[in-house]
Amino acid sequence: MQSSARRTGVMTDVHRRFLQLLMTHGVLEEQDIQRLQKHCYMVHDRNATVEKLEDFINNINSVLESLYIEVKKGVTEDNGRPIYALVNLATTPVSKMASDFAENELDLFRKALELIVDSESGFASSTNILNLVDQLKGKKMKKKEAEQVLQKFVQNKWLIEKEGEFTLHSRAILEMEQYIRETYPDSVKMCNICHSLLIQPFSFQGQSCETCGIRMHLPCMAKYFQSSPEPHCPHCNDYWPHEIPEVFNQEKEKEREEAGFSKSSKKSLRSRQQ
Amino acid sequence: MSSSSSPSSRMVADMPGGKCSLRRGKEKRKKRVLSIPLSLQVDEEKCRHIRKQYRRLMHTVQEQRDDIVHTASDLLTEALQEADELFDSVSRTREAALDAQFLVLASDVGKEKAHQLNADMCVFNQAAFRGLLLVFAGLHGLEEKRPDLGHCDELVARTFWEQVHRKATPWMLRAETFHFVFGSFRPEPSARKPRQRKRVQRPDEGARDMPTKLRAGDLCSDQVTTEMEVERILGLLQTYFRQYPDTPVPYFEFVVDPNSFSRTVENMFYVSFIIRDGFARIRLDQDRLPILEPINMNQMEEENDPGYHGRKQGVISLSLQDWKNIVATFEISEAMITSS
Repeated sequence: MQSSARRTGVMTDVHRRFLQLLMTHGVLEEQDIQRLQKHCYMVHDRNATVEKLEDFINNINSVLESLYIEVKKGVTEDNGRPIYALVNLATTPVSKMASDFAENELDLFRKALELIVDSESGFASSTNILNLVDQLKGKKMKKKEAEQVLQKFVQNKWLIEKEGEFTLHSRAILEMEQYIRETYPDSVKMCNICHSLLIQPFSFQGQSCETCGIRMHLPCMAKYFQSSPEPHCPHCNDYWPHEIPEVFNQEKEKEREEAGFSKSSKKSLRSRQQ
Repeated sequence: MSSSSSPSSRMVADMPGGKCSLRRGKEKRKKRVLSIPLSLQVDEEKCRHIRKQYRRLMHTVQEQRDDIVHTASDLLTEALQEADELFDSVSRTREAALDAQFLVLASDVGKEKAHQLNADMCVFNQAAFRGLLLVFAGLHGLEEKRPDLGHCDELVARTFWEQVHRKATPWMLRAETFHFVFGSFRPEPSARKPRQRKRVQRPDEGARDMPTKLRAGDLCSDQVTTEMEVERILGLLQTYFRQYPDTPVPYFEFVVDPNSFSRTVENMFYVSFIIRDGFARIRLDQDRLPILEPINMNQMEEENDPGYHGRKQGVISLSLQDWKNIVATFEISEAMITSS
């Protein structure tokens, strides 16, 4: 057993309800997480002060540590929203018995993952994925079944579909980051700024330097070039030709939403502010 | 019920003779003690009574068969219990056979009863279920107007499903389990080949591979080989005929290669070309064996039109066994057509 250097937190019903609700959703944005936390306090412990979200989650994580489960915080790749997901950290004999997906469905996911990581744009077209259906392990899968399985992945927030091409959902990136780094060390792409996994280096705006070819996340780039009027590439100091997107700001989002609602009725505005 | 100690006169009527005499003998001649073990002292009166009971039971069950099958009565169970008790006192095959007979009857009746039971539960009334479902979802008025939801408009259908969802959820008290993907893979057996890190480069316009141009000779290579082979074999044949004029060569001796079956087949293939082109002909000799004959150049102009000889088509098939037989029969030791 671990020494008591790190104090294992205590979970009350508030924490438990929060955890169960997070399990149902799988992945949630920060806004929703805060609302969820408040809701759990409302149900069980009205008078207690709402703990700070970070401490709340650290408490839960310390209890879940021995089970290799964690509530991880991450950032979506396309617009920099902070998200929280419940992820599994280790391969144990128990985890191998997971029965969400059949063996051939998991193999399909793994092949799709490989295609996505290897691709230049971080997107794998559905035709390419479906062409690999014949090589799957386990029971034979027809192409039509494979399409449905891919839709199931999209519904369960493991993949995102955009115009017939698939990429990894942030939930999958959070959970599979370690696996991807270990299994595909040569073809994996890293963001130059935050030094974490990069799945979609090219989006419509394009986020790679033309001369030296370094890549970065869209939100990372936004943050880096936030204050400079003349953006330069951090590596080769060349002029940065692409458009700089806006940094995602939680407060601005709220204001924008409220502004949109103010025209409808004041009642809804009041309820939003709560 | 008569016991064994009753006077023998009563047992006279339906006793098999031997036992009666034994009993009488026992009483009359007390000095002669016949050591009969107790188990053999069968009480005839008792047995008769048992038989009578069994027959009565069977009769009852038969009479009340309809009753037993169609009503939820315990008659069958009671009859079986009675038979059970009776069987305890049975000691001879005669009564046991009666017991077995009764059991057969009882099981038949029981089976009928079971069938009755099943028939009631098999029926699933779809229309009734549909009506109940709509009532469950709170959409009463729809029953008569629209028999199936297919004709309903979108809103009604959605309301239906929402209602069902709302009402059915409390019956399923189950928390969500933890869904994850990492850690559920089986270990990969083969390692991935190390891939070269792609560098971002402008694609070079000039260095693209041109598709390989087809050379003129490549396509017809096969035909050239065949033609060459045919000509070579024709040359061999004509050499033979020059050496031995006016002796047609036996077809099989010419074609067969005793060392290789595939060569033999190839030779037959090439010889068929020769025959088709009219440089040789094949016919049967006096022994009905095929022979190859050359056609002279002079003869060729006169006789080469197809109508003249009435050209025929023939198909020769050769199996491995046939080839071996031919080699043995004709005693072919070496191939006439040597490879170049």
